[in-house]
Amino acid sequence: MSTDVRSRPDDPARALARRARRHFLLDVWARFVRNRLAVASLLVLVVLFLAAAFAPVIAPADPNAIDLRPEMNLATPSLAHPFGTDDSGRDWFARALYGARVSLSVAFTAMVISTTIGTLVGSTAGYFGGAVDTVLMRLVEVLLSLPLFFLILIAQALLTPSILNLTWVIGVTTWMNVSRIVRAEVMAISATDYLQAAEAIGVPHGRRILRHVLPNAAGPIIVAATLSIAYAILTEAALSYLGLGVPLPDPSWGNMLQKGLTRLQEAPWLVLCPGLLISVTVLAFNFVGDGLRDAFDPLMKHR
Amino acid sequence: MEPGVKSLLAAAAMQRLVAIRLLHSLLVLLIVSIGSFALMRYTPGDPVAALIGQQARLMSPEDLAVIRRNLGLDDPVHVQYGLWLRNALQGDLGYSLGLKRPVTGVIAERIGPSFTLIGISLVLSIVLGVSFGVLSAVRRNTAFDHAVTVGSFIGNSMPQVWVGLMLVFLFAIKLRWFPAGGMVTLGSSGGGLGDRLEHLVLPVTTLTLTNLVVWTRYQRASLLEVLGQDYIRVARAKGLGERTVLLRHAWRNSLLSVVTLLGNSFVFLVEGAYIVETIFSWPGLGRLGVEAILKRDYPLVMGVAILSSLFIISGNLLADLAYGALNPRLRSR
Repeated sequence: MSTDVRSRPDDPARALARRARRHFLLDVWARFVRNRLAVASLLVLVVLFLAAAFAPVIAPADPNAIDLRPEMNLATPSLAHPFGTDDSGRDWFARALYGARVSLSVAFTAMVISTTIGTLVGSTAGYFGGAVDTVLMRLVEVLLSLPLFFLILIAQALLTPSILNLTWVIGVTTWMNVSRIVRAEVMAISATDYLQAAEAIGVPHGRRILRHVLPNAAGPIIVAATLSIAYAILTEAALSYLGLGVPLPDPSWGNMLQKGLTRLQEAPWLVLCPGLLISVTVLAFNFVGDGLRDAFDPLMKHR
Repeated sequence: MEPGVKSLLAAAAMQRLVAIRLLHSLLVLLIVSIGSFALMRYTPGDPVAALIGQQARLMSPEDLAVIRRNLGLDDPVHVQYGLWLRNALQGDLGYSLGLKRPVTGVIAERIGPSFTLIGISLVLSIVLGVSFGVLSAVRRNTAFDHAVTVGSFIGNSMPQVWVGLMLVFLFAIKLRWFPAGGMVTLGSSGGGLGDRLEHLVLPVTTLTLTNLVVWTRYQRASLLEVLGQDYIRVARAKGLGERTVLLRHAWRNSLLSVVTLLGNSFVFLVEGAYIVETIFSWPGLGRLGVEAILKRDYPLVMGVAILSSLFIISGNLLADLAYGALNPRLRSR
């Protein structure tokens, strides 16, 4: 059995490959760390995630607790209530923390769904080429010329409103850009010598895609995934604002905007706070995505 | 190659581009029409009851069956779709359930305002975005460039809803410079050109702010790419003025990739219109669509979906034609 290189885990070529891969990731990290804006953004995101995870510990009040005392009606931001309260006396900071859980998990899960579909479609098109590629990419083009946001709205109106449905709808309608990026990447990799070699020694299609093509396309996929989280957060906000997103009483950054809008005149902080949170989070994801792009692809140091 | 042959080839390439795009548009419309038909046909609610209303309860099951048959509801689905499509092509998109009026009529009233809003925002986004992008690329790594880059990142990260609401708070509620919503002031004082312009300011700003940053980034990146090319160095080396190099050689070539953004921008503006028109009670298609969805008025929803697709399709076609006109390899003359 000594002819099969892959069966021997202590094979020097394999060890070398493993070291090279580790070095590659270390290189990426080293380049990423040099980008101060990206690192600062990553820190912001870590803080946000911790805040969302430990919301029950940090939150000064129950996010749904209604307090009808007059001093709690639309209270301006203070130490006790950093983001003020709404017209039912609910603590807006507590809602923002719990809202972060909802908004971030919707965006994350939607990203996983869209990245999975996009990677599947893109790698199939790019790897097999020819008619498969033409059909799939025409489909992508057609989908991109549909009024997608309107379709999301219709889908949300037809389905029972729930966080899960919202996540699926966003995920299923936003994979097209990922698929285009993956396709281009896979086409470039498929043309390389090492893939020709893999084909020559008879590695099956599935294994070639999973072991040789996709790991080498990981960089652009991760970048696209990061940017798609940003997009999903904005979409959640837009849908919830129109009343077709996260249903009450669950707080989300989007439905906080919707609630705040009714009291814009007396209590602008109800809109200001969740909007700032969304903007900062999306900005951080965009900066991290941009930093990752430069880190993965130092030759494309651009823009 | 003979110049005549060259231009023939160019014309053929351009025709091919437009032909592919038209075929592609037809496919989009087919999908939208099937989707719309399915939406009409398979959503909850009996079409017979919707048509004759309360009186349906007074009629015998036999009579209702006759009505069903006369309406074609017993025909096979593809026959029904064909009939629906023929009516749709003749401009008959059915009746709005909520407004009790033909969908086509309701939509016709709303196209104008949406067109104004989207058109002005598109022109402003392109003019401002391209200008900022060019200035930023020319003054690369200056404070101005950094400000533009960070600014475009920020503009790209703010929810449109929030931008709109903050503008309302600042300029309509606090400063009282501009009206918070609507298209004209109601009553005798409204209706003049100045009044209409005042109402346009905030919605146009919201839509433009979030769109122009994309043009800025695109223009900056593509101009920087072109400025790094050898032919720019050649142009400078042979002693052309910086102005000529920049405008005639670099910028014109950079536009080729910038203009591909036109199609995306159309999609973006049509989608933005749903949000912006809702915030500012702008009587356009976007707000009509959102209201129709919230009221489950499916014939109207379908009409707006078809119109939105037509908007996007014409945008893409326009982008292709602009690309063809700018690209010397595709220009026929």
